[in-house]
Amino acid sequence: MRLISASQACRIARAGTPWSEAPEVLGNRFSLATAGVRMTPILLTGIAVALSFRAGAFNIGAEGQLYVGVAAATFVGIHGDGLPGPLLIVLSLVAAFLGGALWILIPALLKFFRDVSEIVTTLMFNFIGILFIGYLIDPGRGPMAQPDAAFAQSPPIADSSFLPSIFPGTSLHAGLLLAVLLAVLVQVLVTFTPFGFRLRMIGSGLTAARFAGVPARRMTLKLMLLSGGIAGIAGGVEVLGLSHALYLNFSPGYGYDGITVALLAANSPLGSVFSAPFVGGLRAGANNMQQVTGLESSLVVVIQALVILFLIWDPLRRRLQRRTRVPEPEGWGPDG
Amino acid sequence: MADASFVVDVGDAAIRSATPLATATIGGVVCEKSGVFNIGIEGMMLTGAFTGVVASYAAASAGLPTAATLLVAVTAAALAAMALALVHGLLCITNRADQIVSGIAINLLALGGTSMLYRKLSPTLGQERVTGFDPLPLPLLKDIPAVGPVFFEQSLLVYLVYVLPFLVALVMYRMRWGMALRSVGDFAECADAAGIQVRRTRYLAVLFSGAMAGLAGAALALGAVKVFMPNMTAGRGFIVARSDRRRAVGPAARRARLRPVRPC
Repeated sequence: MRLISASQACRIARAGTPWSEAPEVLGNRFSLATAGVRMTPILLTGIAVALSFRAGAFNIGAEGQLYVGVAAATFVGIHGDGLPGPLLIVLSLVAAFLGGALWILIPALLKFFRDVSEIVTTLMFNFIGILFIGYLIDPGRGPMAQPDAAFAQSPPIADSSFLPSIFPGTSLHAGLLLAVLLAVLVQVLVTFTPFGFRLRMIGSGLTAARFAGVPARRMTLKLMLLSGGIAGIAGGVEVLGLSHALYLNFSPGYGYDGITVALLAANSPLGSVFSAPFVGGLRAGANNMQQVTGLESSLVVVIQALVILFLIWDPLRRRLQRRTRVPEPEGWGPDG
Repeated sequence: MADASFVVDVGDAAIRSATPLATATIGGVVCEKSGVFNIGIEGMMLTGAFTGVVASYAAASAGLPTAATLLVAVTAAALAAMALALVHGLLCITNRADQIVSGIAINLLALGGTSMLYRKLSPTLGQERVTGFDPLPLPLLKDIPAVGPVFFEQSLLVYLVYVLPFLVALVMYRMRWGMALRSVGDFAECADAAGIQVRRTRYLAVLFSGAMAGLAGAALALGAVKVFMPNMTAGRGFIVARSDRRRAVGPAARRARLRPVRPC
């Protein structure tokens, strides 16, 4: 698949390159690698969001879960210096998963016991998580801050825990393969296992699922934790593969990009593999576009928003939804 | 008596910071009661803040007097946010799209759009303060010790918040129009059978919440700091979106909610 990132499109536009010569410009391996690097965490948060949306639980707190996952992975990475590399990587990723799951635990429990809307709780936990990480690495005072640093950052993680590069000469790391593998695994889980069947059941008709004996509450709790954990892994992969330390503003909104990715993929984990390059390419090209053309990089966010708006506007999609939707007993109510 | 002045300062700031939240919440409640969940309030507030500052700058540059400038700024803020609300309404009411997804997209659109336009305009706009709302002490009331300086030396928008909840509650719970609105949210088919225009009512509610969010944005930007900064709402709209306790508190609140008899 040939990817046209925004930066490349701009370069073509500026140089006036005719489209017949475009492949050489478009095929630049470094731009492709950058898009791949950007796409990795976005794909992982996309899987996390897709999983939860599929079951009718709106986890829009992937951003915060990602941050806490990063913190957990960084903690392991800093303190596990003597351990062999592969073990340390696995431990870090497990820590990232647990960190992400921890960050959705309170919203999930509130949903489980009190039926509190997870939309707001997960969203608000984003702010708590990001600010909490800011405290952890607050220069001079934070418990995880690098002692002598002027900027808010943690010490670097052990060299042995770095994810290997898979594309020599670029920063593209093995995290991309891991993300794609995880997408396949989660897709298998959703499509071919009893757990996945129950998950799709509560997503497409909660009342019917309850009548069929699906423990909907417990299912929701489990899959929210799973979703949070995967979002945590997104952070873990990013720190092991690319940044190698915890910074302030670590993520430019990968958690929110995951929502776009999941929606574009119609909440399919495997489909996210195909929608993530689009959003990753936008992200990768944004800064370059700003330098080259003077257009603002926030344009990328506008494009994402417009994509979502036109996506849900589509009358065809509406007709499909109407055919499959279970009549809601509450009428036109908001919760369905 | 340094402590007393500290309390007054904090109280004064608390009232000022609470104004945008309260204004937007009123809109959010009305919208939610009509059965449309508006998580796009964050984006509408941000749009209101941006438009308010730009309109205030433009109007002041055009030589309008202060009062007219503020009127233009507030109107523009409300209208801009209402435009976003209209999109939300078209998507969720006419097109029956997912309300959460639509709201998230509107937030993204507002965040990206205002940041982009702000950077474009910042050479002209600069960091200079635009014309905003200055404190307008109320005669007599401001002389009450402690209470006066906290509550009655505020700007016009703050006074609006003192009145507005009561007005909205009056409409919502003591007038036919409010009854229709609530019935649309509680049981749409029933309201429809009773001859209430479900869609029109919901559109009006969503537009109202947009206007309130725009006002809230204007109160945020023009009330104290008088400048716009990218993402200056910083999550306030999300607090608002759920502080109406319809579902946030859970089963207890749900049980307490009035429900019409089911078969109707």
